[in-house]
Amino acid sequence: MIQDLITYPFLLKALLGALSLAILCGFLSPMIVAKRFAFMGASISHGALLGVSLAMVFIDSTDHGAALFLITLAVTLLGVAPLAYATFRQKLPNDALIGLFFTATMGLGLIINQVWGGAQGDLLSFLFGNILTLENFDLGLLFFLCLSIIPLILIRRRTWMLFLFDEEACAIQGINTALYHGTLFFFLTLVIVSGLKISGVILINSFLLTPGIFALKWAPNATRTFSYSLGFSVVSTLVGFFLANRFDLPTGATLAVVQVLSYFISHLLKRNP
Amino acid sequence: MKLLSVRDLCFSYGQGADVLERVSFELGQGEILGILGPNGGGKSTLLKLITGLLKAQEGHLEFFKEGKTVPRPALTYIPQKENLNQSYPLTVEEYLLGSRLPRAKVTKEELAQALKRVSFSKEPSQKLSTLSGGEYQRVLLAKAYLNHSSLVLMDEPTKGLDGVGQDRLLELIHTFKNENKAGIILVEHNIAQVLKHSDRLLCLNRSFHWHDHRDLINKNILEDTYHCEFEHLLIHEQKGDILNHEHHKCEEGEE
Repeated sequence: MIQDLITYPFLLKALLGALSLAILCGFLSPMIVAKRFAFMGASISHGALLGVSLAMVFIDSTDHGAALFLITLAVTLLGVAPLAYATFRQKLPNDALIGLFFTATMGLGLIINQVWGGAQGDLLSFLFGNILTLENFDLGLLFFLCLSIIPLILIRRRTWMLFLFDEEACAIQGINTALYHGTLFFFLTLVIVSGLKISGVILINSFLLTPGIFALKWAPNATRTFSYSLGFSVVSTLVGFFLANRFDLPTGATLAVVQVLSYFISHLLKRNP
Repeated sequence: MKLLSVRDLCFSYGQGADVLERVSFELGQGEILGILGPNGGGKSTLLKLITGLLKAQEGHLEFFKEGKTVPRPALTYIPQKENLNQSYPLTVEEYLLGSRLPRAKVTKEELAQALKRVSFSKEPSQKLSTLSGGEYQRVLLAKAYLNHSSLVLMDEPTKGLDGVGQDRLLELIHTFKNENKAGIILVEHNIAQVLKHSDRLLCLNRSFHWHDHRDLINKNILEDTYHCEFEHLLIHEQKGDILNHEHHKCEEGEE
């Protein structure tokens, strides 16, 4: 495995990309699970397909990483903004609205891709991801997000914990809960769009949910949910990456399966739930 | 001295019927206002209007300090335990250390003192989700101590507690009120406890509201509030399924 990483630079790039995404998702995951945004993450990731389709209308190849990322992010954020507004303090029933959002955006994405003749093969690769297509830009972006999002959350971690536990009590205390709600949506969208090449719109939900579910079950307090989730995410990603490389399996899918299996094994091992 | 003045407050959700219609009352320092009323009668809505979570369509809500009008002060809202996020492992310590955010921090010494004042006997590292209803209410009362809250709003604090637990909690509330010269609003279904511990009463059922000194309440007022005969009301109170605001056929009463 180590010899392969030295021999094939794209493999090293893929490993570093997967680990960066594991760190980002591992950090955000307990927040998403605690806030009951699991379905929301799925919705945003499926909605990102519309962004990718539109980006592929304007650029001729998915090799233009920066343009692809910026257009996809802009389009996805435009769709996510009304969703964030509508779900603030549950103004509308979440599940129905989210269901409508992700079927509409995904369907529209496929139609645009068909009508304007984008590269079909490329679009499909965004459904399940293709980690070997990572460019330097993608890797740099993931590093940058790790170094910016994580400290931003840690600085205000006590407020974030209160927000996740009881949003109404936070608002009564004078905390700007609309800002925290919007920020969580923004970070979630950034991470999903930046991780599309690695895990695709479908498999990224395993990165976003499994570490958080593990952490909320095992961590002795809210502060340690971050480290528990991060540890789980990084270890399961390393194991998944090794297995995919060793047995020549699709990387994104293997990472997702290993994460979910790891959770179930830990669930069985815990004697006192 | 006056802490809160509510005048002609009206509220409805969207285009629906009025939940509250021209409700008026005042709350003074060191006073407990008990609010009685059936489910759907507007009690929780009134609390949310006072906290600022909802905005009234009509009417005035004013807060006072030493006789002068002030912006909404640091108040503590104590909801029912069922409303808390059971899946999140926030501990007592983590919760209370954030009591004064975003303005200031709480030290561990202050936290220990506040927990002592409410006779909380468990470790602060205990998860909130593992506490009993009574322990959870004590933690929230400790938060009121840490915030020096002049106003505490309690939504059915004795729900799920046995008689002894109810009395102990209400004693702690009295102590807090006296030590901090605070005003307490106590929403309760437990009519006996409200009558015992409140200085004044507000009987609330949407368009019907009556408020005055607790000694003046009578059977007719309670029947008008609950749209139910008093004997039926006692049966429902014992069963813990206090009535909806609509008229209904009570099977218990026919036996």
